[in-house]
Amino acid sequence: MLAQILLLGVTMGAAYALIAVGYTMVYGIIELINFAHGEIYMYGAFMCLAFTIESTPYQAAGAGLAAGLIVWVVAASLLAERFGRGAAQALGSLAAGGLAGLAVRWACLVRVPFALSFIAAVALASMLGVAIEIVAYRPLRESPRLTALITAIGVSLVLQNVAQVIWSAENHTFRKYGAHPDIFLRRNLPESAPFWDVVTQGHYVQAGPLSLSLLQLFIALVAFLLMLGLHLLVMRTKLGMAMRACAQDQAAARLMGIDVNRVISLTFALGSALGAVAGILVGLYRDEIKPTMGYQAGVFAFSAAVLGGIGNIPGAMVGGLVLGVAQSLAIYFDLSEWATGVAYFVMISVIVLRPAGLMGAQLPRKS
Amino acid sequence: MGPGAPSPEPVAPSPEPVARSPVPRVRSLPWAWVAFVALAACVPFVGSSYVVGVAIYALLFSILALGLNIMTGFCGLLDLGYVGFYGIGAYAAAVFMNNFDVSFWLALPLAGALGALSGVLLGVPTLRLTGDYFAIVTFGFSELVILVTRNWTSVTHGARGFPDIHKPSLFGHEFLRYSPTAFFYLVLALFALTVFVMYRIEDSRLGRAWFAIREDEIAAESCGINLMGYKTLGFAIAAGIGGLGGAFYASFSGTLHWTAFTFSESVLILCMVVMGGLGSIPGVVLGSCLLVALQEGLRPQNLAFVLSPLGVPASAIPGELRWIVYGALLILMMRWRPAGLWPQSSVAAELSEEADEAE
Repeated sequence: MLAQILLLGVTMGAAYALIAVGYTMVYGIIELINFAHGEIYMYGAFMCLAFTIESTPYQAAGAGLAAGLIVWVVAASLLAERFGRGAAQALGSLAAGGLAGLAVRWACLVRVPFALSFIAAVALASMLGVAIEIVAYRPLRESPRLTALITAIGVSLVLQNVAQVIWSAENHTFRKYGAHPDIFLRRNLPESAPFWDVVTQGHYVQAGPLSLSLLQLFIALVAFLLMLGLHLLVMRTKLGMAMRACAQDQAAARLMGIDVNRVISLTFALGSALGAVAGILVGLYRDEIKPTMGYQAGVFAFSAAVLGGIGNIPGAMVGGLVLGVAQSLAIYFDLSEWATGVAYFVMISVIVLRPAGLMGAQLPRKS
Repeated sequence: MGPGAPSPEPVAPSPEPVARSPVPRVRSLPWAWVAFVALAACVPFVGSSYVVGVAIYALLFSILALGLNIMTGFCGLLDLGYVGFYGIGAYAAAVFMNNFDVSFWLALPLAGALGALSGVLLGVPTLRLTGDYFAIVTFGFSELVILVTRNWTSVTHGARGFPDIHKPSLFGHEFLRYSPTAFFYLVLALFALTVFVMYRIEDSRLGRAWFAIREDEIAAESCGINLMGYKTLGFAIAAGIGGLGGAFYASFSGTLHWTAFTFSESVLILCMVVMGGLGSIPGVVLGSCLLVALQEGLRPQNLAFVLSPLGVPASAIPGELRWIVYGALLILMMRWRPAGLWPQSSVAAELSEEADEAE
């Protein structure tokens, strides 16, 4: 039983790690705690669900409107960067946003295969991250850090409540709509099967006393591969080098010919995409998608990022795993009401006792 | 100073340095405040009990926002968990009054003292931290407070809520729950006291030290300001005010439930401070009154009053609207008026200065 619960912890920990990376990357590059990151995680899960199922016309219209706005902002910024501002660019970005909105509305009204929904939702969530940066954070880049932090809280508040207006506060699940990908489920499970049965009796691998469900394996694998890919990207590619340069000194990076705005946008895009992947996977795993899911997961993931040393990508992974296991241990010792407290406790003690985290080197203080 | 006293030292030859100093002499507005309180005191005579209830919340949140203002406005430390002290004060007062039969008039200062004590206990290890880290720790603290109130069932009655909290009594008359007038005058008195104390502090050595810390910690320290001491004192006073507010809330509402102390309440209070103007006493009160009014105005049933004649059905107005508006307000204020609607002059100067530096 202990091993089984630890496995639960490792699975959740892998998901926390995926979200934590988003916090860490953004903090590393612009020293901002992106409070809205949890909301991107939530948005990814909701969009994937909305594409997979047949949404109500109201939800489809809301999702289409939101997606149209996001694409419009990103397109406007991209066009302005490449061709300058003008009437043609403004019309072009409006057209892009409008078309994307209509497409999303249509995709919400019909059933889309899960894999396709997954990709589209991750792409949209990634654009949401970029759009937030462009609209809310970029104008404040030279302001005191308190200003940007308060803005981030405002963004999170708006997104969470807009999601609540579109999808209502109730709990949505893939299973409720019969949209749970078959490969992760045994078909003969009744609709009302408890969560634990779903986890353990889906397609699973028996390894000694441990039963490992296919979904758990999938989450761990995806998380590991994405983290590995990210690590390679940051350490081995030109873009990664540019990111590290911007994290160290933006002015110097600019002098070296790096387009700082573009690098920051790409950082947000990457981090948001990983967060959205985590959102969809956790939504499947816990069978729970609701507008407030981002808040809680965001806090846990942020604690994981702090635990591993903020700004440190491998640290985020370790931090996520440690936190997931610690929470599952709290459940094992029958302290499940206090399991959320573990995250806060870990976060506070690490910040007070060892602010650099488990793996972080002390960051140079900017400004 | 009397007319017969020897004339003070001659005024500084050039007014220039005075005008440019980071902390200009704060001019208190005693008569404006007396007028404000006197006008407010008339509210129960002209308003319905609904209006009085709203006014109580406006004053209560003004008190809380003034408390948070000490941390975030005066010392420049973002506190994302202020509601934790409010919750501690509320539950402490409820326990004192119901379980130990302490009178409200003793429970009120006790709750304030307990709030201040928790402020010191949290502050001593965490006030060394700067900026974001401090914000996050305070956030975690308030979440832990919620967790305790939810799970320490034997004392706080957990998720069922703390029932039937005693009302204060004065000369043998118990304050009636359904007549908020007495509570209104109680909170008005607390409010007036808080504003008075704020002005006294702002103009004192203590206030100057806080402003110096806010402007530049290193410079302040090298001028001989004991950073930890002043910051801890600030945190204790702010937390104590939160505790007092909580004690009032416990007695006024009669029941306590953890949902009244969530992160969104912290954000709401922060929103009041930011909107009115960080560090500005009249601004903070203005922000609180505006946001409480906005909160009432955005309730679907009240909004329907305006929108129904325009053909918008009440069912189409989402209850989440007010949070969307608050969030948008935070974003817009930070973008275009970071110093608030009624800025403290030194904050406005600082913000423009930093913007200049960054150019």
